[in-house]
Amino acid sequence: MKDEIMRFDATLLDNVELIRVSVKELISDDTIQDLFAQANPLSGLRTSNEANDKSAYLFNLLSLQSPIICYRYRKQFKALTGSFTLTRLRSAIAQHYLPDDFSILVFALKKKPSSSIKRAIVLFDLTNDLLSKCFISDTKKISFYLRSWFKKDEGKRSIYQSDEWLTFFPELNSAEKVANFLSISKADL
Amino acid sequence: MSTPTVEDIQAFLPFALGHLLNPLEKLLEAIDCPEDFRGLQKVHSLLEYLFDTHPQKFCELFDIQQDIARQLLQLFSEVNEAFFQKYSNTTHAKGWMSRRPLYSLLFIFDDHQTPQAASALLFFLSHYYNNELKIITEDRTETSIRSFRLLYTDEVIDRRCFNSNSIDDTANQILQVREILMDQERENDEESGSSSRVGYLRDLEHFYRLNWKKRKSFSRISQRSIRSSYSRKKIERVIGSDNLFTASLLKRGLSKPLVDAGVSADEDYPELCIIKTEQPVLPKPQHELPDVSVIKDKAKINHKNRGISKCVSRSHNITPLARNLLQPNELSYLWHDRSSQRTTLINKIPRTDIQCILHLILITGRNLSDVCNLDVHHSTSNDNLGLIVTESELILKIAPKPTAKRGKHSDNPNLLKNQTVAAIALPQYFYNMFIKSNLRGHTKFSGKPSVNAYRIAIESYLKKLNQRHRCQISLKRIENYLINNLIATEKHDPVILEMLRGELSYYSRSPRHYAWYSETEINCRIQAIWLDMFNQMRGYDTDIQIPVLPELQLDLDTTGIGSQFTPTRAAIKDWVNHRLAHLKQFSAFDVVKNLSNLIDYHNQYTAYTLIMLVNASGYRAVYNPLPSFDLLLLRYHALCISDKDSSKTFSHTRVVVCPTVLKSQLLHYQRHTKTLANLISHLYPAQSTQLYAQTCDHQLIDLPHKNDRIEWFLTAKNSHANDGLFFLFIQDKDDPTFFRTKNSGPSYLSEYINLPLNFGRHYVRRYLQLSNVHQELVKFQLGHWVNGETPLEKCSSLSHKVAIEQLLPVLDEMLEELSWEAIPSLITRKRG
Repeated sequence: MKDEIMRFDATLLDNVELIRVSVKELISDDTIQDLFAQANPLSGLRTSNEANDKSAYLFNLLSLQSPIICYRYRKQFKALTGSFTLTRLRSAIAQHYLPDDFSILVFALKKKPSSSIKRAIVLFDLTNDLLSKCFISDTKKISFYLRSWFKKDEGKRSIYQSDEWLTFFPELNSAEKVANFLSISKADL
Repeated sequence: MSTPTVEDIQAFLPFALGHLLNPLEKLLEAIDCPEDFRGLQKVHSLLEYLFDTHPQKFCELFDIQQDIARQLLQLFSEVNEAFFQKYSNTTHAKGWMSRRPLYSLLFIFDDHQTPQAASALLFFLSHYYNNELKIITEDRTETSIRSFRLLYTDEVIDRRCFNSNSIDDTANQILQVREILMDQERENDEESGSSSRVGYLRDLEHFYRLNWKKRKSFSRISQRSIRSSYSRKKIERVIGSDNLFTASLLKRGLSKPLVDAGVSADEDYPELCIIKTEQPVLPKPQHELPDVSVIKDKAKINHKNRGISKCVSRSHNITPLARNLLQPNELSYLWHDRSSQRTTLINKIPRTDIQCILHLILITGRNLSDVCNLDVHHSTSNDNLGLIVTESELILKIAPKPTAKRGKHSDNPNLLKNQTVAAIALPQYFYNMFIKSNLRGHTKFSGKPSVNAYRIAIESYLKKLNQRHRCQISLKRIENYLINNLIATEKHDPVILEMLRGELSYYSRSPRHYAWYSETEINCRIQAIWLDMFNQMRGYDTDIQIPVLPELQLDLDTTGIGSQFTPTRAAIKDWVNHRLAHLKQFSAFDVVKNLSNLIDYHNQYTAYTLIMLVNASGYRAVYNPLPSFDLLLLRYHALCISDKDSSKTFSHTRVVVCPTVLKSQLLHYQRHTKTLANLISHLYPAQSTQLYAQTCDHQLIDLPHKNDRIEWFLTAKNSHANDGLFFLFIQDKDDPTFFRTKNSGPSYLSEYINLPLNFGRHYVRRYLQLSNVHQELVKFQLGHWVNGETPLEKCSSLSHKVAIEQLLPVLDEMLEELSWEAIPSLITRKRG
C-alpha cells in the first residue's frame, strides 16, 4: 500500500494533464460516495446551508484554489478530490448563477487508478483538511470522521496502527500522539 | 461503480499480453464489469456472439479495432483459477439492476442469443453510449435499461419496436405500438397487465428521443365526457333561482390509496355542469317559429349561454331581499293565520290540515309531495324513520346517506364514531297544531286526500291569504324558503339544512363529505335556523312571541352523523406530541453524520411538516402537495393551493390562510431543503440539483413565457415522480441499502399516521363550524364553492386580506390546541 502510493506520487506529475471540462461531466467517484455515506464531511461545516446568494463567489478562482483531480470514465470524468468545490459549482449552476455548460480546469489522471490508490487519494485530501487545516474543530467529530473513514486492521489496537493511516501519518502511530498533535486530551478522541 | 483496473486484469488473466491490457480495461469499464469479475463468463459469451454476428458495429460501439477485439475476446480461455468460481457464476447478483444496469442487461441477454436480439441490443447500447451524459444527468439510466430489458423479453410486444436502425423510426414505432396497446386496453376494459407495458414503452420512447419532459396531455376532459358523469333523470333546482335546473352527479370510483385517505370522487366534478331552463310548454304556431339560420346563429347561442351563466351566478348570490325569498311580512301573515279559529273546508280539506302541512313545509324546507308522503309512526320503536308522534312532542327521524366507503378505517379508534340515524325534535307549537288538526292517526302525514287535492286546496288557501294581505305567497316560495334564506344570509351550514330537508343537493355535495355533527349539535343548529326565521318575522311585527323550541340536554355525544373521517382531537394531539418528542430526541450532529441517519431524519421531518400542512391548511390528500415554495405568499399569511387530484379543471386553485405555526414550519423546511441539497450533493446529485433550483428565488428564470410556466406547474402539480419539495427516501425492495426518492403521496404518507390523510380538511371544517365562523370563510378555506361564489372570480367582492385577518386567529388557536409546534430542522442547526 505504502509503496504503491509512493510510486504513484513520484510519477504523478508526468501522468496528469490539465484540461478544461464541463462541470456536468464531472461525477463523484464511488470512493467519495462510500466515504460520504459513512461520514459526510459537509455535515461538519457550520455554514452547511450557506447559499451562493450570500457571497459574490469567484468560481474560476475557486476551481483552481482547491482543484479537482479526476480520471476519465467512458465519456465522463470521475472526481476524486475537490468535493467541496464541486458542490459549490453544482449549486451555482442549478440556481442559475452560472451557465448550464460552465467548464473549469481540472487535473485528469492519464491512467485509471486502482481502487486502493483512489481511496488513498480521497483519504489524503479529506484527512489533510480535517487534521492539518482543521476545518472542523470539534474533537468528537474529528474522531468520528477518522473512525468512519479508516478501517482498523485485524490484530491492531486502533485505526492509528492501520497501514492506511500510517501511510499518511507515519509519526502519529498511537491515539496519544494524535491527541497530542491536535492538542486535545486522549479521552476526547 | 468501480470496474477492474489494469492490475486487476493482470491478476485475472495472467497470460494476457501487455498491449491488450489497456483496451481490455476500457472494454470492461464500458460494460460496468464488477471488480471481482463475477458472472463475466456469461457476459463474455454474449459479447463474443455480438462480435461474431455484427463485428463492425461491435467495434464502433466499444471503439476498438477489429483485430484487437478478436484478440481480447480470445483472452478469456485461460482464466486464473482463483477467479474461476466467481467468473463462471451464473446467478444474477443482488443490486446489479440498480447499480450496474448495463452489466445486468448484458448478463440477462446472454439467454437471448439471436441475430435480432443482437442487433436490437447493439442499437440500444450505441444510443446509450452516445448520449450517456444526458441520460445520467436526467437520472434515467436505470429506467431506460429496465424498460428495454423487460420489453424485449416480453413476447407480447410487437418486434417492430426493435427492428429499425434509425432512432426516429424506432421512437415512432414504439409510439405506435403503445397507442395500439392503449386502444386495446380501452376496448377490453380489463386488467391485462398492459398498463405496465405502456409505461415501459413510454420510458423507452423518452430514451430514444432523449426528452423526458413529461408530456401529460392536458386536453381538458371533453365536455361530452364530463356531461356523461351526470344523471339524465335526476334534476334539481338551482338554489336561489326561479326556473333553472341542474342534473345530479352519478357516483364515481377512485383508486385505493385515495379511498383510504378519505377522498371522495365527487369533488372532482364541477357542482354545476348541465343547466336546464324551462321550455315553453305549448309549441309555437308555425308563423312564429324562427328561421333555421336564427336558431343556429352562434352569436345568439353564445349570448344565450352567457345569459344562463349569469343567471346561475346571480342565483347563488341572492340577498335577503330577493323576490323568491319570503319576506318578513309574508312570514308573519302565514304565522298569524295559524291562530285563526275558522274551521272551514277548502276543497274538502279542513283549513287546519292545510296550515299544518304548510308549516311543516316551512320548517323542514321539504316539498309538498315529500311532506304528504312522510311516514308517521305512533310508537317509539327504533325501527321507524320519518315522523314519530309521542305523548308530548313530534320527532323527525332522519338517516342521511353516507358519502364514502370507509374501507380500511372502519374501526379506527382515532376517528369520531358514526351513526346513521338521528332524531330531530320539532317545535312545540307545531305539535299543538298537529294535535288540533285531523291529520292524527294516519300512516302518511297527509292522511287520505291525494297530493293533488292538497295542491289545489293550498293554492286556493294562499290565494285568499294573498288577497287579504296584498302579498304574493306561493307554495314554491314556502318550499324554498329555508334554503334560499340560507344562501342569502350564509349564517348556517348548508349540510344541516340538507339533513332537515332529507334531500341531497348539489350545493352541499362537497361540504357534506366533511361535516360531522353529533345529534345534539344537529338539533341546536336546526333550532338556530328556525330562530332566525322567527327573528325575521319580528322585523315586521315586533309583538310576535317567539315559540318555545324543544329543550336540549347538552351531553357529550361521542357518535354523530356525517363525515366518516373526522379525527378526534386527542388522536391528532397524541400523534403530534409523539412526533415532537421523537424529533427532539436527536442531536444535531447525529442526524447528519452519515447517510442512513440523514435519510431517516429527513423522512421523519418531512412527514411532520406534511402532516402539519395537511392539518393546518385543509390540503387534500394529493401527490406532491405544494409543488413550489413560490406558492407561499408569506407577506399575506397565505398559501396558494391547487389540490384537486385531477387536472380536470383549474377551478379549485385557491388562496387560503397559512396559519402562523405552519408559516414558520415551512420556512424551517425551506432551510432544511437547502441544507439537504448540500449534504446529498455527491450521493444524490440529481435530487440535490433539483432542491437547489427549488430553493432559489428565480428557479423559473429559463421559462420566460407564461405558457411554459403553466406547463411546468401542471407537470409538477400532483406529480407521482420525485420532482417535488417533499420527497421521501424509499427503501428498495431487493436491495435494502439502496434508497430511491419519491414524491410524498397518500400511500407513502399513510405509513406515518394512522388516519385517513384527508383528515385535515375534515378537522378544519368541523373546527371552523364549531367556532361559528361565517360560512363564506369556511368555503374560502376549503374551496367548497359553486358557480358565482369563487373568491378569485372576476366580479367577486371578497377581500382576501379581510378574510385572512378573520380566519387567522381561529386557525392559530386550533393548531395551538393540537399542540403543533414549528421546529427547526436539526440538520440546519449548529452542530455542537
